[in-house]
Amino acid sequence: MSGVMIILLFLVLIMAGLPIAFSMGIPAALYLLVEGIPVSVMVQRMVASLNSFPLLAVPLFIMAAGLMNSSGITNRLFEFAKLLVGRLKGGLAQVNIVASLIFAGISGAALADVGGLGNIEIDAMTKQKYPKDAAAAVTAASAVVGPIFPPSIPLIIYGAAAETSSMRLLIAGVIPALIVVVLLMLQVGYFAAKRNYPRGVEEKYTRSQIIEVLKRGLPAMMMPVILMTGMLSGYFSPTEVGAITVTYAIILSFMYKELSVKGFLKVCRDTLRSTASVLIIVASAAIFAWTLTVEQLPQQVSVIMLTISENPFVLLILANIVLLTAGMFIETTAAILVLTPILLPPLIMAGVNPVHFGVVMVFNLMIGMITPPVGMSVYMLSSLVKLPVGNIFKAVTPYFITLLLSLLIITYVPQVTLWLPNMMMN
Amino acid sequence: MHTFLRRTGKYFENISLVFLLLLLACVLIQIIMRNFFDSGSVKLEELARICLVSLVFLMVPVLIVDKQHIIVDLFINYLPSKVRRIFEAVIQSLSFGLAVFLLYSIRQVMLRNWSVSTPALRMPNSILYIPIVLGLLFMALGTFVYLLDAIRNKEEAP
Repeated sequence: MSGVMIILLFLVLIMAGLPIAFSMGIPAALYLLVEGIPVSVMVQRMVASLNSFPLLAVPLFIMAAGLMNSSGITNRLFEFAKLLVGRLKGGLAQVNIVASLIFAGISGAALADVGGLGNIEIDAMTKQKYPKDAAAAVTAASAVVGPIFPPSIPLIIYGAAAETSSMRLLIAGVIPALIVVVLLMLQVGYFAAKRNYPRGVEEKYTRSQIIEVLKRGLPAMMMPVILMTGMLSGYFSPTEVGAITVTYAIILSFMYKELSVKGFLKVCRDTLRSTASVLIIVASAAIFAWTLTVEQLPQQVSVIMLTISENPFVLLILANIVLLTAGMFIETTAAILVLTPILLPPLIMAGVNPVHFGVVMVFNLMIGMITPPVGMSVYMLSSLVKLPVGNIFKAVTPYFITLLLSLLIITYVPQVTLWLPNMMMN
Repeated sequence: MHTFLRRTGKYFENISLVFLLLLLACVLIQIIMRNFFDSGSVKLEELARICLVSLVFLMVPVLIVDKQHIIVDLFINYLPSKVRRIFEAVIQSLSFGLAVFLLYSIRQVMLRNWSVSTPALRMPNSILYIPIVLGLLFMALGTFVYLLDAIRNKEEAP
């Protein structure tokens, strides 16, 4: 059973509607049976992949995002972003982007942004007569930023898969995320002028209103500051940041008196479901990737890629094409775990820095969350705003072009990614 | 049978909830110990990891019962309902087959390692594997019940 057959079987099963985790597990199980490898390898590999300290961040960040969304923290972040850019033309669309960046500084997951903040953003935008699909499109596009801005679950998972420093990866995501935000804001500014979008806030804020918004939002705004300072000063690791975020979110929830015990337990139950659905994919991807390694697929891909070219720029184009395509069909975590061991070795041989590639990879896969056929963010928004998926895909297309431009910058100007971690950690 | 599945699922979810809170507590205590008492504990770290493994395997069958696993349903949604039912039966039989395979796999692991202890807590592997075995047994049962439903053309709302 060759590596190509394993991948083909996986694709057939996934398209047939089998859960993604099982679509990876079944070809791996068949491989063990056909090749006469002890079947105990299956569970051993799956358990070993989960028995990992970095992965503890997954339930913790999911829980933190859930707490923020159900305890009014997200609302306060939105109000704060409104104070910053709400006065601009098309202000609420700009607020949408800025709020996503702030939320990203705490949560580390794109779908948590869409599900929590997205609701508030779209509600506010439609009240100002923005077309629903336009509001959904900005929300989907801005949520892409989340997983490249620290803290980030996908970057931590990539760090574990590539055996690269999670801290470097997280810091490396800062400038690329800011570039994406600036480009999206410029595009929204252009649309606002062309389509005559209203200001987010018509009246200027009075001094007392500013103080009120700051007072309400400051404790929540302190969260990313505490997290980054704690991480950089070595008080806690990127994984432990998750626990600190949860604790801080619990404290704020009680302070704001917007979360009951029942609400807290609901957040925990939702966390369990989201965690299990992501991490069982991680476990299955581990045994799936192992079968590909035994079949020497990574080596074969390395040879093919290096035969095409040894130029890192050409190889990065190839990697981008593979990753964008994979992102359209495969869930992010699974794609990271399967593709990292395949794509990274030839790129390293060609001189690409693994930290740089990590950010490129995660950003590629995040773009996949707004592209058909499996754009998870778009599906989630479609059920939120009750619009057909096709309408949102159409509305998000102009932002897709901006995101591709950002991808080109992130890919071909490695300094954008590497300058900050090199400066802060050397 | 579906009531039994849902009730058992609730128990599994409650146990997982305890594991989640324990995991959070372990990581927090670890941060406090290291930063304030200058003594990190490998035992706490191991316990947190065991909690993670346990809660994942206990929740996987709950997701099956509630039909909440991540799937790509874009293509099968366009199929006629008759063909979709056949697909459903195939999916459930494959899922059931995988559950049985995993149970066989963990049996082999336990036969070899049941008395081996974990590195930090010195806990026998047999205890460590209990949640995994329970999760896989429940997964096999859940997929079997849904397989029967698919064969009988019965639709059970999650």
